Amino acid sequence: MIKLHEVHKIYTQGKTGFHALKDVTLYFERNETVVVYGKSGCGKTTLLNLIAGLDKPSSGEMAINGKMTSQFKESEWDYFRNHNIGFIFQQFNLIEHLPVLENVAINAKISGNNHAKSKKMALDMLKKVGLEKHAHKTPGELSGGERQRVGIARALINDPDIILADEPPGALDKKTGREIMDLIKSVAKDKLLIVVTHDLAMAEEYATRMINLRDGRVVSDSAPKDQKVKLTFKKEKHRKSLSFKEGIRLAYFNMKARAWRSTLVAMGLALGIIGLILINSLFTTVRSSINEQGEILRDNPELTLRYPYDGEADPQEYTELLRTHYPYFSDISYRPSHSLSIVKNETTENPLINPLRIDRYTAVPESARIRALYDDFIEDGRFPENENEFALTLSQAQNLFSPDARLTKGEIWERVEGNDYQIGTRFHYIVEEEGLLEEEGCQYVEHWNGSEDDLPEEFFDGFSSSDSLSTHLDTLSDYRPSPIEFGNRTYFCDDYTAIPWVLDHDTPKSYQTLTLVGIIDESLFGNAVFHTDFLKSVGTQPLALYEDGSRHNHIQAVGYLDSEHIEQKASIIRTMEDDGFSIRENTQSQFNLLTGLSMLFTYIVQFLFSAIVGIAVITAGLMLLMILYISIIERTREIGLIRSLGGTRKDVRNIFVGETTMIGLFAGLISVVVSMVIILFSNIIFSEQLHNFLSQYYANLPEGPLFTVNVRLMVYAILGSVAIAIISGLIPSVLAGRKQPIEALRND
Amino acid sequence: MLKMQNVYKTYKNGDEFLHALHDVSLEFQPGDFAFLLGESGSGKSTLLNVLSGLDVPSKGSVLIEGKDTDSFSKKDFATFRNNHVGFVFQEYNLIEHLSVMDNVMLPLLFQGVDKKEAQKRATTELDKIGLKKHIAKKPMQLSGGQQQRVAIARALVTNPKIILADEPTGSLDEKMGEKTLAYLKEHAQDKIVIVVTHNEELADKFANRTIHIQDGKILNDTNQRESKPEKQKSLDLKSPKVPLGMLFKFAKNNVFSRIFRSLFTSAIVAIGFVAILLLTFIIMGIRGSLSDAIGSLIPPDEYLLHPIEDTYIDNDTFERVKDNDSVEALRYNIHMRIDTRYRSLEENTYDLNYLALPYDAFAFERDGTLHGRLPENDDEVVISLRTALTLRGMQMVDEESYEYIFNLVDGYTLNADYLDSEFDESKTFTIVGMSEERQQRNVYLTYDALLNIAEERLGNEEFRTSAVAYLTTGDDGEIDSLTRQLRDEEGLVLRNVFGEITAQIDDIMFTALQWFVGIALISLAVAGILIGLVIYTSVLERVREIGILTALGARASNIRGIFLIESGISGLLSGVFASVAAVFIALGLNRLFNNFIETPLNLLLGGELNITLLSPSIAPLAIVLVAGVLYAMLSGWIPSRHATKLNAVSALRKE
Repeated sequence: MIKLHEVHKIYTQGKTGFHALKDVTLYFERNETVVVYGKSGCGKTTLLNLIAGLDKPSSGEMAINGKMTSQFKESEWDYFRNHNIGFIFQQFNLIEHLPVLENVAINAKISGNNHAKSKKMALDMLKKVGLEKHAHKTPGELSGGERQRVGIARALINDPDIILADEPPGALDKKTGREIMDLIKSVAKDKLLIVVTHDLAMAEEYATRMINLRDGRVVSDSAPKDQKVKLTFKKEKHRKSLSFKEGIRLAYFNMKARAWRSTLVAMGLALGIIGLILINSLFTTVRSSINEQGEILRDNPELTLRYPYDGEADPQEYTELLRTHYPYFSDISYRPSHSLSIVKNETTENPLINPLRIDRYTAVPESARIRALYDDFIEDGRFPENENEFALTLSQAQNLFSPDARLTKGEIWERVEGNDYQIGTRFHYIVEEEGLLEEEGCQYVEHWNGSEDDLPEEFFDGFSSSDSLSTHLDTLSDYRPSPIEFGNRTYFCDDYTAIPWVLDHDTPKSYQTLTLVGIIDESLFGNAVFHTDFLKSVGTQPLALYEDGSRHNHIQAVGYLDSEHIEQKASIIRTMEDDGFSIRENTQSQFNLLTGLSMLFTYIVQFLFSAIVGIAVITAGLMLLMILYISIIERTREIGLIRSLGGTRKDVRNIFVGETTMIGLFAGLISVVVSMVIILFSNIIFSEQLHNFLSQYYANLPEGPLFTVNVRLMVYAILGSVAIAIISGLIPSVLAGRKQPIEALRND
Repeated sequence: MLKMQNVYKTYKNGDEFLHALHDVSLEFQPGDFAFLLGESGSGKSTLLNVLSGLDVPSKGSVLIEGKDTDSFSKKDFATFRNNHVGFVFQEYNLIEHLSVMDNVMLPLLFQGVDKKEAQKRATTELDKIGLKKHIAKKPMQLSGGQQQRVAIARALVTNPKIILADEPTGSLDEKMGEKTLAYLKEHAQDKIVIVVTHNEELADKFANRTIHIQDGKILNDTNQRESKPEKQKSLDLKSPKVPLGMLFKFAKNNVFSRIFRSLFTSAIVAIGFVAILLLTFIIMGIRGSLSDAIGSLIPPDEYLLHPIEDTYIDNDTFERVKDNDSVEALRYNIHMRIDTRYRSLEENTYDLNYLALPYDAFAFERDGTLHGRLPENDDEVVISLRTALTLRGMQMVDEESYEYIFNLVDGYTLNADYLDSEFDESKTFTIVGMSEERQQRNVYLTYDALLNIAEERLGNEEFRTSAVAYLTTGDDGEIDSLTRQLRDEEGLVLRNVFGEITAQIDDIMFTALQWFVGIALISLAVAGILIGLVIYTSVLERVREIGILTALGARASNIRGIFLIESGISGLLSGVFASVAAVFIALGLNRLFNNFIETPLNLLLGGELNITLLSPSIAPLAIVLVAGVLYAMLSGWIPSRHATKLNAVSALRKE
C-alpha cells in the first residue's frame, strides 16, 4: 500500500545540515497496526510527515497505492491527504474558535460535501466517539481526552485508508491515553494505522508490527514486508474547493472568537465611510439648494407688470384682479410706479451725501420660496414687519456713505440699524433743462413781476382772448411748480402737456418716516423691501399733466411666476401683453455666474473634504491588511491543520477572503447605522446651529433637515466597504494560501 | 517559615468544578530540599502557584514567616517574589534577546540594585556555575544544560529564601539533569527548595523530603521535623524599582524583533500625519505668498483716513488729526493726473500726461530700484523710467541700459506748463533720480511741492478726499482707541488696508485649516485603532516574557510600561516618518509647481511671481512628533493594561 524506497531527508539549517532520515526502505500494508518508536529526535515525526505528504523526501522514492508521489502535484497531494489519510496529532490541533461539530465537519466539507451532509456525517462520527452531547461546545470547554476524541472523529470522517497518529496519548494522563489508544485501535480496523511514540510499553501492547528508529535509521522491524510495486501515473482528479459560503461561515466563527478585534477593525474602516456618507449627504443638500436657487434665478420669475389706468387706482383691487385673472404667480404685489428716495436721516441729523433714490423695490414677498431668496440679512436684520419699517440692499445702503470710507458690512449695519429715514413718497414734477422749454416754444420773462402786463408778447395776446392768467396757471396740477422758473427767468408755455416733465426726487412733495430694519447682503434681485401696506398707502402718483388724466397713467405690480408656469413665461408675457399690460423682466444677469461659481466652489470643497476622508479610508484599508497579516501569523497552526486535512491553497485563501468580506460587510453596516443616527440626531438637535454655521458660507439654505438620506448612497457605502476590505485582504489571503503546511504545524 | 493551612483551590471548567487542591496543609523550613511528586493534573503546579502568590487559594491560608498572605496585594506578592523567591522552570525561560549577563542581572535590577553592583554579583554567580566565559552570549547560543544553569544562577542571584523549581530536569538528559540538581542542592542548603517532578528516581537520589500529591490531596509526606510555632516576623519587603532603561530595552526588542510589522504600522499611522502636515504647509504657504504679494503692493504700515459721511477732510480736521500724539505723519493722499507741456532737454516740447505722486521709499521699492537720489527740495523730482524714455523719445530698452538712460536725463530740468487750467505759471524742476517703473509715466515730487500744485490747480476740496497716516505706535490697543476716537470725534475712518486684507486671508486660511485638519483627524482615529491592535497582538505574542517578568517580581506597572513605551516608539517612528515624508513631498511639490506652473506663468505674463506653495516649518513638525508619541501611547493604553491582567505565568509551563 505504501512503499518507501531508499528515502533520505536532510534539513538544512544555515550552513549545517541535519540528516533526519537515512536510507529508509519500508513497505506498509492495509490491516497493519504499525508502531514506530524511538527517542525524540530519531526521525519518527519526519517519517510520518513524509507519508502524509506534508514534507518531501530529499532523495528516494515513495509510492502510495501504486502511484509515485514524486510525480504528485500539490493539488494531488491535497486530494490524497483529504481522501486517504486521517491525521491524529499529539496536541489535538483543534480550531479553538470553532464548535466541536464544525471542527469535525470541516474535514468533510474540504472533501466537497455540502454543509447539511457534512454536519450529519460529523454528528455520526461524534456519536461513535461518544461526544454527541458536546457537539456545540468549543474545544476549550473539553478535557484533554475529549479533545483527542474530537481529533479522532475528525480524522475518520472521510473514511480514510490510512491513519497516521503522532503520539496520540502524549498530552494525556495514562488512563485517558489508554482509552484513546483503544478507541483508535477499534475505529482503525481494516485500515493501515501508523502510530509514532516513544513509549515502548504502549508499542508492545498495541502493535502488530514494531519499527524502531534511531538517528534516522530503521534499526529493527518486527515484521518486515516487501512487495514489488507496480507503478502507475494516473492523475488524481480535482475536487471542488471549499465554497465561498463556507469561507464566510468559518469567518463568522473566527470573528465571533475575536469579537473585539473584528469590531475595532470594522469600526476603523467604518469611520472613513461614515465621513464620506455625511459629507455626501450634507453637500447634496447644499448643492440642491444652490441648484434650486440657481434654477429660480436662471428662469427669472420676476416680472414687472404695468397696466394703463386712469386716475388713482385702488392697489388692493388691482392686485386682486391680477391674482384672479392670471393664476401664474406664486407671489404678486402692488408697487407704486415711481421711484422713492431717502432724503434725510432723522436719527443722527447727519447730512446725506446725496438723496438716495430707490428705483428697485418690492413688497415683502408672501411666498416662502421667494422670500427665502431675499432672506440674507446682515447680522440681525429682518424683513419689515409693519408699514413703518423697510429694508435696503447692501449696495443701496453703501450709497448712504462715502465710497472711499469702504465700510465693512458690519460697520454699515452698525451705522444704519434702527435709524429713521425720511422717505420721499410723492414728488414735484420739474423740467430738467432750460433748453427743453425753448424747444417747445416756451417764452420767458426775466425778473417777472407777477402781473399780466409783464408777460411775453404772444402770451399777452393769447391770454387776453381766452383765459385769464390765473386760470392758465391753475391748469397745472398741484405736483408742479408754476410758472416754471429757472434762475431769474420765468417761463410760459402754450402747451404744457408737450413738455418732458420728470419727477424731482430731491424735493419730495410728501414724505413718510420709516425705520431701517435690515440690510440684505446678497440681494439676488437687487430690490429694497417695504411692507405692502406702506406701498399701498403711497399709491400711484398720477403721471398725468392735467387733473382730468388726459395723459397716460398706469398702475404697477411685481409678480413672481410659480415653478409650474415658469416654463411658459414667454407665452404668459404674450397673453398679458395682448391684454394690454406692458411687461418688464428683471435683467440682472450676474445670477448665473454667481450660481455657477458657488456650485464650482461647493464641488471643490466637497472634493477636498472627501479626498481627506479618503485618506482615512486608505489608512483603514492598510490597517486591515496589517491586521489580517498578523492574524495569519497567529493562525499558522489553523492554516497548517486545514492543509494537512487536504485543504488546498484556494481553500485557505477562501477562508481569509470570507473573513475580509465579513469585516467589510460589518463595516458597511456600522457606517450606515452610525451615519443614519448622526443624520437623525443632527437633523433634530443641531439643525439650527448647523444651519446658522453653514449660512455663513451659503446663503439661502433651505429650511428643514440639512442631511439628505439617500438609500442608494447607503447601498454604495456597503458595497464599497466590502470591496475595500476584499482588496485590502487580497495580499494577506494569498500569503496565507502559500504557507507550507509543515511549517505551519511545526510552529508551536 | 512557609506554611499552608487547609488550602483549597477550585477551578471552574465549563460547567464542572475541578478541585486542584483539596485540604492541603504543608510546612517548609529552611534546609528542606523537598520533592513534590505526582502525575500531571495532580495539582503540583497549582500548589507552586499558590505558594508564590501567582494564584490565590479559594479557601485556607498561606503563611510566610508567620504572616498571613491574605492581606497581601498583588503588588506585595510581586515584591515578595522579587525579594524572596527564585524560580527555575523546565523550559529555562530565559529572555532570549538579553545576554546571559543581563538575564542574571534582571532580578537584581528589579530590586533596585545599582547596575555596577548587579553586574558584580551576577558575574560572581555565573562564575560559580562555570559560565563566566559565556556572559556575553545570548541564551540560544548555549546548550540546554548551560541554559538551565543560567536559570539557576538567576534564581540564586538575589539570595532568596525560597527556590521553586518546576520540572527543572524535564528538558535535560539524565546526566545533565542530575548534575543540575546536584548543583542546585549544593548552592541552596540554607533555603527552602521545592522541586516539582514526576521522576521518582531523582527524588530518591536528592530529596531530603518527598511529598506525593494526587487529585489535589497530599498522599504522604516524609517530613520528619516537628512543626514549631513561629513568631510573626516582619517580612523585609523592599519595594523594587525597575530602571526605565530596562523597560525601554524590552520595548525596543519588541519593536525590532518584528521590524517589518513595526515599520509598516508606523508608516500607516504616518499617512494621517503626512496629510495634516501637508495641509498645514500648503495653507501656511499660500497665506505667506499672499501676504508677501499684498505687502509688495500695499505698505503694511500705511493707514488710510477717509471721511465717513462727508466728502472730504477739511483743513481744520486735518490739522487736529495731525497733532494727535499717535500720528507720526499725515498727508493728503494726492494722486494727480496732470496734463502738462514740458520744454525739456534740447528745447524739444512734449505734451505729457503724468501721474504726480509724492515720493516715498516704499513706492520706489515697489517700482524698482532708484537710480540717482531722492529729491531734497521742492524743485527737484524723480521720474519713472517710462517718463525718461518719453522725454528722450525712446522705446523700451533692456535692463542693462537703465543706468545709461538715467545718465541721459540726470541733472536736466523740466519746465512744466499746465495745459488744462487758467493757471499759467510755469514750473521748473531738476531731475535728480529715476525709478524703474516701466509702465506708468510717473513724476515723483516732494509732498509739499505736490500739495502746492494741488491747492493751486485743483481747488480746495478735490484732493482732500482721503489722507495717508503713519502712526507712532504699532500696539493694537492704542490703534483701536485711536480708530474709535477718530470715528466718534472727527467722523473719519482709519484703515490699515494691508492689515484688513491679511486679516481676512488669515481668517479664511484658519477656517480652512481647522476644517481640513479636523477631517484629517479621522484617519488618525483609524491609526489609533491599528496601534491598539498591534500592541494587543504584541502582548499576546509575549505572554511568556510577561510570565518570566512576573515570576521575577516585576509589577503590573512595569509590564504596562514596556508596552506603553513600545507604543510610544511606534508613535515616534510614525512621527519621524511623517515629518520626513511631508518635508520631502512639500519640497517636491514646490519644485514641480515652480517649474511647471510658476515659471511658465512668469514667462507668459512677464510677471515676477515668487510663490512658495508649501512652506514647511518647524512648529507643526514638532507638534506632530510630540502628538504622535502621546497619541500612540494613548492608543496603546488599553492593550497595555490587558498585558498586566493575563495569567502569564501559566504560559511558562510546557503545555
